[in-house]
Amino acid sequence: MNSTEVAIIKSNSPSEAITDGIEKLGGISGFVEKGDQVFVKINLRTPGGFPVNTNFDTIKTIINLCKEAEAKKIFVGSYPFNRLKTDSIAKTLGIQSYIEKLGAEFVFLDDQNKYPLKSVEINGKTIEFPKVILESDRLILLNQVSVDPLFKCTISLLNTYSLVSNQFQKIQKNVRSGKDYLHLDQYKQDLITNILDIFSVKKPSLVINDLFYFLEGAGPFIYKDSNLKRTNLIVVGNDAVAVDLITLRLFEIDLLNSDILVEARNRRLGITDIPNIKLIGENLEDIRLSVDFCVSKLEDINIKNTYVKAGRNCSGCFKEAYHLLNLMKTHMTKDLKYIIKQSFLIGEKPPKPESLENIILFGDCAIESTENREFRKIIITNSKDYFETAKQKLKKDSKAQDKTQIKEKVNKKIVELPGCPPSRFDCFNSLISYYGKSQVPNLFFFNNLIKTYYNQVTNKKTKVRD
Amino acid sequence: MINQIFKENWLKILKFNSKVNIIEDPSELEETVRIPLTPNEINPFLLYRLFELLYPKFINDQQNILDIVISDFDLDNIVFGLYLYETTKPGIHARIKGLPKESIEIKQDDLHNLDTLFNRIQLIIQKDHGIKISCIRLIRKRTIDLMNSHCERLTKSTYYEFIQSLLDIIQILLEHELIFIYPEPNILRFLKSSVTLLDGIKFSKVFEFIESVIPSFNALFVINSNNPPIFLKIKKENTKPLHSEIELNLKLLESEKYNFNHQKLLPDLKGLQADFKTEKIISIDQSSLLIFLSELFEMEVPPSKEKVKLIFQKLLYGIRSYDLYWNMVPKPKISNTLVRFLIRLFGINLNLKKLSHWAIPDFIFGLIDTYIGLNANILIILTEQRNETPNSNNLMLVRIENGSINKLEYINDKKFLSKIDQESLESIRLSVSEKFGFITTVFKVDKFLIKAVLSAFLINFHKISLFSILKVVKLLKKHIQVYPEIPPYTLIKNRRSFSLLKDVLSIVIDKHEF
Repeated sequence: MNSTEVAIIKSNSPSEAITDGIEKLGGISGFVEKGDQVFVKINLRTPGGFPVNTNFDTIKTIINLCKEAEAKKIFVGSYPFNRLKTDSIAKTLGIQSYIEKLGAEFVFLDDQNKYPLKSVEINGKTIEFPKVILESDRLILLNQVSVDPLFKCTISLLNTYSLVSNQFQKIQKNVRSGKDYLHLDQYKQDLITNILDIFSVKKPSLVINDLFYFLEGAGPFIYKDSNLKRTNLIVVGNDAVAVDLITLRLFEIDLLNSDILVEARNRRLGITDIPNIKLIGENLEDIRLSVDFCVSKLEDINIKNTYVKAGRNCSGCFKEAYHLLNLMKTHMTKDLKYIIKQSFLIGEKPPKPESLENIILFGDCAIESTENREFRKIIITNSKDYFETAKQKLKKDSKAQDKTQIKEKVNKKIVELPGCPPSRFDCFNSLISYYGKSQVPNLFFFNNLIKTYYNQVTNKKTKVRD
Repeated sequence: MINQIFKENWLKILKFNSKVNIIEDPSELEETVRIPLTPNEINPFLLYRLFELLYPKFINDQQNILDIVISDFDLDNIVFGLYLYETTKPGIHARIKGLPKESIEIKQDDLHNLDTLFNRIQLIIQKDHGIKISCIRLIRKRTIDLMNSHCERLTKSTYYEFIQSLLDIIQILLEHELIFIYPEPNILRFLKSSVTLLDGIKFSKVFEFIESVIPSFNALFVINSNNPPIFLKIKKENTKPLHSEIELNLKLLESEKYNFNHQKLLPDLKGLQADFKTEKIISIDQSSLLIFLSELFEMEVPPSKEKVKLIFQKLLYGIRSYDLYWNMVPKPKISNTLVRFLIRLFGINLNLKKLSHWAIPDFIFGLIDTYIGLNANILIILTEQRNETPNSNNLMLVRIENGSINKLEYINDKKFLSKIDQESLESIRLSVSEKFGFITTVFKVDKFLIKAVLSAFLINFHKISLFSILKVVKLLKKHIQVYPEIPPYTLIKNRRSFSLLKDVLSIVIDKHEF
């Protein structure tokens, strides 16, 4: 296929925009045929409110359109965020009954008894896909677009990543001989390869990038610096790469500024030449969306009483640290005032901390590269024995000078958060045991909230030197 | 044209205002006037003080006002009457002068551009009367009719009925744009936007609901300033089966009797308690209260999340400023050091003066944003335990956009409600979602819980103790239902009341005593 059509639609409601977009591309019958089994892939990240997950009104629109096209069966689902169970997220969002009432089936992809997996070989790797997705005649990507710390925007290609379980999404640190893991940002390269591998297994028939409400500032989760901007826009097409390319162009991001689209072009996974994309609806040149993207440097996340300094780091640690710092800023207002001063160091050979107290070392690189640094030790000066000195002076002992004893001790005011990258939620336990719950009441409460839905595992490697 | 009693009373007020400077001790006068549009008879000097205090703060702080009565219909000249008030002090209406209605010509279209209209009228008044007006008040004829019928009802109605009637009139005036003030005061803009936000929900219904959940009380509010304080006595007795008996009284303090000495808070509250036969006395610093209210009315409606956080923070700061901006008799138990010390032995810090006004809004809004979302439709179902008849529940829809309340809708479509299976929250959510768009979360709250919360934290504020809060937490678990189960609700439900209280108090109360 050398050309494709992409619709840019501006409307008064997301549902209207989707219906209009599909209509302009020839109607739903061009994407779904009578008797088809359809799988609608949505965003199902965490038990959070909109726009962390897909807009439920747009899910309804898509299901109704599929029913209009007389689809035999409509499945809706996604794997949730790391270590979350679909069951707990579905319960928190009340999504199952809503989808069923609309005439579709909500899929608990992690229930392997009901939805078995099938192994697929891609580039020498074996990845297990849910059969229900592979066997569906049509795959529809309904993607909520927000800012993303690694890829600028949560484009539809990223959405396809959660077609497989977290086990197959995890990037193992694989240092190639003679290659600098950090300099080449091998983590991001491996991540992009993985995402595109998964994307290439089952290409979608219809892709909807919903940016009607766009989360800017900090995202894709809701943080203190997040702001929901109404753009009234959606982008629809059948080529995910082309749809993503046009979506990014709306934000004035070119192909060459998107690592993942460049790689998709190299692998010929879709159309990346704009002249080969027939644009329908709004004029691309007329729209210039001005939004605040995520910070590119962790130091730019302004957190009360926290000194953030980064050495060379990989994208994996950057992303997790970005989320951890934003969670701290959002949910630790009181704690940050109580803490008074803390230093957050990340990456290889980070700059020295502001003080010797409350040093957070985030990630294996920060821990290992600072093993012999000065701040690991503190110098203790023994207090003078004034009585003894006075006695010596009375005896006119010339040797009765100040004998200050200097001792070196291990600095115990350090909390190490190991991992490459460490899990942000596991870090909470370490921080609570380091600071004590009376010092961080907000974090203690928030951690208890997370425990109601997140399957926390005790990280045996986590060390708290206190 | 206007109700005779209202007119006579208004002229009496003007007469008093015009001679207030020559009366030796106006506060000692025996005669009374009625607060316009209310059944309350008060000392005319008190009314003078109220106008002097509130009018410049909330309506207009400049002199000379022109009232224009206009037609509801499109005529060549819609002016029915012109009344000029030459005020020597802002807000003090002392002299009224009726002007020939032909002296100013106004058409309905002019009301769309009040700027130009005001400038034109100001030039005419300046030319004809040699004074500059600072404000015009355009009142449609229908307003006069509404006021007249309200005034007629006043003599026969109870306080409850009077408040409802007044609120209804205010709502009609705002909804149908029956009154214009130029320059538009913040309070009017605030009220107009509030009507839009409430989207058909009647002010009187809101009052009816508030009245139904507030327990009986008998309190005296003392508003302190450099001038002799003003007393407002409010008594509510839930004796009648339908509506409670309400009593409102406004008075000026007798300076010598209560040892008034131009201070922020009145010292002898106990003496007042005996004299006024009230359960409690709340003394509030007037200037702080007025600053808070004027900031509230300056707020855009619907307000942005940041603005709500700020107002909430200020309100909490006001609450924590016990003994500084307010105090009360009987003294709150938690202000007693020994009681606080004993509670602290259980590991609980309960100190009113250490309320974390700076951290609580962030904590609450952080949770709402995270677990409800920045865009959400919340359905609130208010139930009444004792009323078990089907469809007796009140359904309210709160629409949130970018973390701010955008619209409130009261669902009263009886046909629709009768179809809803009220057995489970899940089925209610699905039915309402079909008609009103996706419902993010459903909260089912029983009136009994609201009553208990108000009783514990508002009416019986002085009795707040560890046990009363624990009781509320237990009731919260029992009388509130949320679907789908958002994590904060799961936590409240599953955690032991005492541990939950301990965790929450460590967030809402500052750790350090000094």
